[in-house]
Amino acid sequence: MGYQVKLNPLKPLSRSVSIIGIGATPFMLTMDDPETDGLCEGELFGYAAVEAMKDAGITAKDVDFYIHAQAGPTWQSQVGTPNMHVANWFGMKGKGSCHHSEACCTGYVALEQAVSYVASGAYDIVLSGACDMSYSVAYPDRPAFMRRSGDDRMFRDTLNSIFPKDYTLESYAALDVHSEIWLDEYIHENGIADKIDDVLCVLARDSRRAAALNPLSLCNDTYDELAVKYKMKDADTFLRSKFNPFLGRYLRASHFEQRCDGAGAFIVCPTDMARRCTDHSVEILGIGHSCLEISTPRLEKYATETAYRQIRDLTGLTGADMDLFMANDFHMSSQFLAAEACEYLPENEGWKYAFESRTAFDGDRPVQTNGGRCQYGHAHGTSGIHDYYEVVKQMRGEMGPTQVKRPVNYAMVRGYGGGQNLTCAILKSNA
Amino acid sequence: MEKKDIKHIVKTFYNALEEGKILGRKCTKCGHVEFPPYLACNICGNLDTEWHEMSGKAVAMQIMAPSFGFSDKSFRDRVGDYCVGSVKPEESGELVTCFIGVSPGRVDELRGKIPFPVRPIIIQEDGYKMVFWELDE
Ligand SMILES: [Zn+2]
Repeated sequence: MGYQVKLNPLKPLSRSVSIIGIGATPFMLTMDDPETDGLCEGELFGYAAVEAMKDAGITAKDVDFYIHAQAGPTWQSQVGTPNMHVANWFGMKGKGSCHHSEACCTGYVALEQAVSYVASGAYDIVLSGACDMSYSVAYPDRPAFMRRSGDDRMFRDTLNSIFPKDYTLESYAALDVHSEIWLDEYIHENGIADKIDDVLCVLARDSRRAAALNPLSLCNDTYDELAVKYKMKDADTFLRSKFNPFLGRYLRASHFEQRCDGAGAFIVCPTDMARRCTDHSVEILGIGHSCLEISTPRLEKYATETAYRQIRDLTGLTGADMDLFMANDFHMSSQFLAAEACEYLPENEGWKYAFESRTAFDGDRPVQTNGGRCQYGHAHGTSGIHDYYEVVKQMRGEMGPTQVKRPVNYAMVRGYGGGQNLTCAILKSNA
Repeated sequence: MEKKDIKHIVKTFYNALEEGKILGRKCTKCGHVEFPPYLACNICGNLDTEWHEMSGKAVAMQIMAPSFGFSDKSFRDRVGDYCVGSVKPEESGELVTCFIGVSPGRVDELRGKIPFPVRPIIIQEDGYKMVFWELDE
């Protein structure tokens, strides 16, 4: 028994919308590296936005409206009007803009926002982007090049800020249960309590293998290479060692997000315009969207299923029709839980696909091919844009060593924020 | 709307806890109880609800031991053993909660008894009271 969300059906867009350009900075710990120390929001958002406009073959003059996204403008950047703080960096001075923030789902909602503006007919070319500096945090009263560590205590306070404040009935439980409450149910329904550590360690190893090959990733070494460094036999030995302790009941340190800094941006326009200006645009067929607050047990499961049903009913396409699945796996088990809930993987077999490396970038049902939040990194509100970046580049065949083995014509992107928004988008290559 | 039309909902809930009562809001159309209390019904969408004293009858739907990395040690110091999971009061929807007085060592045994009965327990917090649940055995 669980919470059944009944939503009104999603309706088709008034006009089709496509992505024509995309840009992304690497995910970084900027303040820890002399090469990047002192970088700030305007620069990072600016570089990503400029790359996206160049990729689209347009200039700032062509953009009608821009949308700013960030998971935590107050705690990361100490600003209350984040869209205005970066606008001048990439030629948007005077143009209309807005800001939105939906925790870890922010970057996924960024696409829905941009698509809605264009589909409405109000604007033709919209830039949507995000910058999060969750690791290198600003001071309230110093220039932005001066940063301080966004430490665990600060981050815990931030996590607490997403819990309901009217009532606090989920106190002392919410932070503790949400990373594993769906996994716990899944483990006992499938009778895999004795296998789950093996599954998750394989998943960590394979995700890290993808991240290490990705030039935008925070991590550039595999677990096998780390094992050598610690004088251990192999990745498996390292992943079961004291260097990878259990933080949850099933999840080890390697299965939780790695906070970092980064930015990303994309350009959308009507699909007929996109077809005229580029041969590799990516059409957004629709985005399902359901929200449940954090006092709801297994909210990730129920809202994922709802968002998926919406997009399936709108498009007639199922997860099985997809060539690639992205999950926003800030708890790594979300890779197979979400992929299974969205019918990308067969029911009750997601864990087997992960265990047999079939969900790795070089497997037959690839999931989260950039390595995901736990290995590629998590710059909270920006991570969704990096997942769209990965999809667009995979569709173009530009991912080099992590390019999946078959053409990517359709992709499903499941967005997830820690205690509210769940989105499910289907993207289609126009090539 | 005038000021007098805006009745306290949250404060009424917390004030009732001081008297040992647990309140929800019952939908005047479908009978669903919103717990904690809200203005409108999240099941049928009806815009009118009225106060309802919860029966206190409930079952646990999921139970897990507190984790090493994310549990609140200060809470354990105050209340002793507890587990985390979800509770389903008979009149309302399922909620994330803590089960007070339950040793983490009993999780496997209790999981086999789901849905098992629990009852509310009101605990004093810093300046207000809060509802958790304990085993009804
Ligand atoms: Zn109702």
